[in-house]
Amino acid sequence: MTEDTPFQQEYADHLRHEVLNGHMTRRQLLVRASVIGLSTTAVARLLAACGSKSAGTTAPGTTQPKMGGTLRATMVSPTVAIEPTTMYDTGSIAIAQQVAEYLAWVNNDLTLRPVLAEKWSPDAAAQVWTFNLRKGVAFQDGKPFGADDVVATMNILLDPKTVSAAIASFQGILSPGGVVKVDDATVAFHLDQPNADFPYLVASTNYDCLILPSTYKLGTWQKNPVGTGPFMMTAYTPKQSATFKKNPKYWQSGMPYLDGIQVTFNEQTQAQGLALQAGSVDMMLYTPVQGSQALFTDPNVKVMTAPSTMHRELHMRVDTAPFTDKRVRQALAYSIDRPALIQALFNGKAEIADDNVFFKQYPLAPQDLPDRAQDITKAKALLTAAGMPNGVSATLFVEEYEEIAQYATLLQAMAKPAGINLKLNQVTLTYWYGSGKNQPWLQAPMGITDWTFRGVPDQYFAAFVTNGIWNSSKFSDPAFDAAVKGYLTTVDETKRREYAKTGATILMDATPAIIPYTISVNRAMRQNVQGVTSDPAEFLDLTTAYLA
Amino acid sequence: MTFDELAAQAAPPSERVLRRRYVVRRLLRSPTFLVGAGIVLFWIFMALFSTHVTRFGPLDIDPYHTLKALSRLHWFGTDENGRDVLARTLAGARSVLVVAPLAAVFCLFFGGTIGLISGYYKGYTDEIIMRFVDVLLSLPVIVAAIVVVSAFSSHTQGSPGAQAAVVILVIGILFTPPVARTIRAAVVSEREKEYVQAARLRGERAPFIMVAEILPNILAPIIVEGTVRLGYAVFTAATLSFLGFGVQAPSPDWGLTISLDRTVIQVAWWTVLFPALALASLVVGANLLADGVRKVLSE
Amino acid sequence: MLRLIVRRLLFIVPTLLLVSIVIFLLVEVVPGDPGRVKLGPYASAEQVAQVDHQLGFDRPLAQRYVRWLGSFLTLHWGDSWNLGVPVFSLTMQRLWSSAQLAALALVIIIPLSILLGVVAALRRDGIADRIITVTSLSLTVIPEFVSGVVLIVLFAVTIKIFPVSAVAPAGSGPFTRIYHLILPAIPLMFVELGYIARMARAGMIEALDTAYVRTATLKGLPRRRIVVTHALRNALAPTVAVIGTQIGWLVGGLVVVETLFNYPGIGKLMADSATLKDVPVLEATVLVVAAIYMLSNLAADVIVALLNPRVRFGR
Repeated sequence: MTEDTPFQQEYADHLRHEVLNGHMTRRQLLVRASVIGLSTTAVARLLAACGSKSAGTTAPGTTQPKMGGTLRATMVSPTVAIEPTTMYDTGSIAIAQQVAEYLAWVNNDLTLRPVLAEKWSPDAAAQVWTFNLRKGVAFQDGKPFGADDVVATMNILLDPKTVSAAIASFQGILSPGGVVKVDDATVAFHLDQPNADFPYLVASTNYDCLILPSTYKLGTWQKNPVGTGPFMMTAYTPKQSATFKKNPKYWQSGMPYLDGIQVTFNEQTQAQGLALQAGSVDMMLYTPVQGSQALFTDPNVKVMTAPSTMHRELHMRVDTAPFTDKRVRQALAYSIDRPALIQALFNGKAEIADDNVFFKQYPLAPQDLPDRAQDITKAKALLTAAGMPNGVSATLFVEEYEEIAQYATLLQAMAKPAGINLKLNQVTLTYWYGSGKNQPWLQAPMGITDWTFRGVPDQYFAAFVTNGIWNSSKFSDPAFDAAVKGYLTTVDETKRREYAKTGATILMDATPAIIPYTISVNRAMRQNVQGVTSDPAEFLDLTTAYLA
Repeated sequence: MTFDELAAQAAPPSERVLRRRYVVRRLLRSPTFLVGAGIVLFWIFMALFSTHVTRFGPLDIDPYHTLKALSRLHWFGTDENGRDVLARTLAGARSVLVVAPLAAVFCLFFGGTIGLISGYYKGYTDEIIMRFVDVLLSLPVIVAAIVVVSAFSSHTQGSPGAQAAVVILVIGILFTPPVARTIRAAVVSEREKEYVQAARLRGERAPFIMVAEILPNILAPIIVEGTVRLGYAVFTAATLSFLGFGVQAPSPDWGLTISLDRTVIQVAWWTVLFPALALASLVVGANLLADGVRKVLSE
Repeated sequence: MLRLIVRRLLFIVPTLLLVSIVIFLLVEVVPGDPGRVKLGPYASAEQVAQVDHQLGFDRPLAQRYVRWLGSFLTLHWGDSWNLGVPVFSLTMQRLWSSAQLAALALVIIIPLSILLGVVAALRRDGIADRIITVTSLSLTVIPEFVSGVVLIVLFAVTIKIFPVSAVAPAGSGPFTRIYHLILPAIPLMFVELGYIARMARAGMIEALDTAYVRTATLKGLPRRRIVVTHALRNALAPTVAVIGTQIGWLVGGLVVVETLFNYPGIGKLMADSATLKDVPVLEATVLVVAAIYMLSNLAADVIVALLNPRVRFGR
């Protein structure tokens, strides 16, 4: 393992100051340390210097894992043919992640775990990031893994013709040609501007970044699934099932413990839960509270939970009546009783969010901005001030996904006393996301879209920056763009925190979207399933899973 | 007062009036009819006035008390949005009692017209019309209704009135064949009677004879068919909204509620049981009503 | 006999053709631009035109119908838009699942209803008769999803004797699978019970009143033999006729029950394809159901004719 660079050592010092001055907690320290790529020894030294006694978070002592067995899982089906570089739906992602891997994995506590990259470090300006790749890794077909594969995969993702979801995260940060092979085991990323969070963008949280062989051809993955991961996909029947076998040559010796995975697809939460209760499956990928209430009290089933920044964004197009005036948008925000929503939709298993993407879970997010409580009087006053004393009407597109329909029903009832009359228009996921140039979620005047967990808020900015790829509200504010740019390009933690606060304040004031809560992700499984936790992004990592 | 008026007052009531009074008396003595009518009237009352009777409104959410079991506050418990199940169960009658009676009226109208024409004209016209009617019978009612409602859904998107109209018309048209058959049979037997011949000899035109002469005399089978079709219409309308082809959320419609809440049946059975029992009672009530009417009118 | 069958078949074919036209119009024409329906209001005109062209929408109506009918008759039913699998095998698979459910329901309820109807007739106007008649008629008129949820609440949630899921785990034996099918079969049985029992009762009463039976009774033949050999046979004819007319409601019942219990049969397939606008599946399933419906009506009429010589030789 290489020594930390001088910049990394300087940064470690900076972090120590932040903690000692009370600006940063130990947990936040660990996150930032992992992003900057500090070696484990440096982290241990840091923790000691900060006055911490323990060596850091280690996994709780588990029983000796049992080898063998096939885990039977149920989940929603991939919505289209599986293509790792362009996928965006839960089903495709879960399938692809068993077979292929990332450079790094985002842990539940937001720290980064090295996977195909062993170590990384930024230059002094945090504009060139060098990744040292793991040696001795091979793809499942035998081809050795090296820098060429990383460069080739990144170039596919960066190519605008691919239309990958990853591009939205790389916009303005990394351009085609910016990924350079240094040697067979080293890759350098030359960014367009400094970025202190870059490793997240090539980790699991940018879920299209699975590393594929340099010889990979777009569109061929479903027929010929390739990757370096712990399992090989041996059979796939769309909408029905997928079968995986253990990768005997997996680079983590001794793993995976399971012999195989058998996945059954089922679109209905209730049906998945019934199968789990009956014992015909061992695990449900994702267990929404609505429809799975029976599982929480079943003695044969345990429900693991992971706090997450998964949320629902209700966007209102700022260029379309009646939402052109920000007071109307604010009025809707003030008509919502957020704790009530959380209670009704998640039985309390969610956190309040305040209409901005700098969620409190992130280390650099402002922690002291006041929550938006329900205030019908204020909502009415805002509408009157905006010239609509008799209220407004609008059609809200509601995607049929998990609790969103119920959220819309509750919202409709809450908004009514404030004078906002919402008509609900329910649409399927396939319709809402569309394909190619036709994507209703980016065009409808008002709609609710589901957003998954991201390791850093950076990947949510594309929804609010001017001309952002995912900007459905068409919000555009140079002050916000500047705050975002400052946040992304600065390395100084304190300054970044200020930019985050500015950005959050701007979004809360302009309210281009309503984000009332962040959901904790539940995963139900039978009692004998060990070595798997829930995941804030619903990702499935079965490397250390076993059946007791 | 003139002499004629006095005389008119003293004259005995006509045969029709007597018969009507007799029928009403018999109906009021028939337990089947009374029970059925009672149930139906109860639900009509609820469809109109339930919001004045219950403490909670059918749309009042209470996010802090979702899926709560029966209690003194919520006699039938609450649903997943904290809404009072009793209020929603009573209010749920409204959507069914708008669609079903209108559909019954429509099928009486269409079926009656077709039956009159077909039965009166006989011969070729009769054959052709009844063949077309048979084609309508070539698909099970639910299947045909699903296809038609789904076909028009892109045009009725966003307009509950239009959606309801489509359902009403579909059910009305699909129930036309049995009504047409019955009316046709009744017309065929009336056609040979004296008063019809007399009207023909008078030179009356066919439409006049059908409507003014025959129709008043076949009111009994029409009424019977109407009440029978009402029961079927309730059944079909509720089934359509259960399958998602009827009214949309947040309506407390019974079929819709059962369809949406069956996912929580294991932890909150009250959310589906009470709408189910309510719907069952209305359907049984409508059928009892029809049965009672049929027994009395076919004496 | 053969003439009857041939005549009816000759009637069925043009009717099916007419039905196919109506379905084609309803599914492909009435909703409007398939491109617009698939892509939604925000797609550009070019994208809509592209999808329309892909689906052959821009061709003349008659030509589209003929092509569709041709490919349908040659069993080239295309692929499901929603599931991506060939429609033909999907439909047949689901049809077989529905057949199992329907068969279970009918195998139990037909003998049971006939038995109840006969008992009611034999004890005419007595208490048993009243109970049987009132109960069966009440159960008949209740929508299948209503009795279904009540059954689920009672027997799968509260007193857990039956499973909530209608689908047995993969690899289960026939008895387990039947066990899972019982709850969904009961609502179907309820609906059929009333009609069949009533017809059996009426037929039995009529048969018991015939001169033949009265003579046999007077002659001292044992009652049971009279009932079983003669009266029953005559009671069966109208009963089978009623079953024939009830097939339509049975099919509708399958749609409802399969949706309620999440059972992968053809009824649920049809309902889902109508909701999700999966055009090839909707067209195929409706036509298949229509054909089965007409053929089973024919089969019922044939059985009636076999049982009742009067019908056989025409009236």
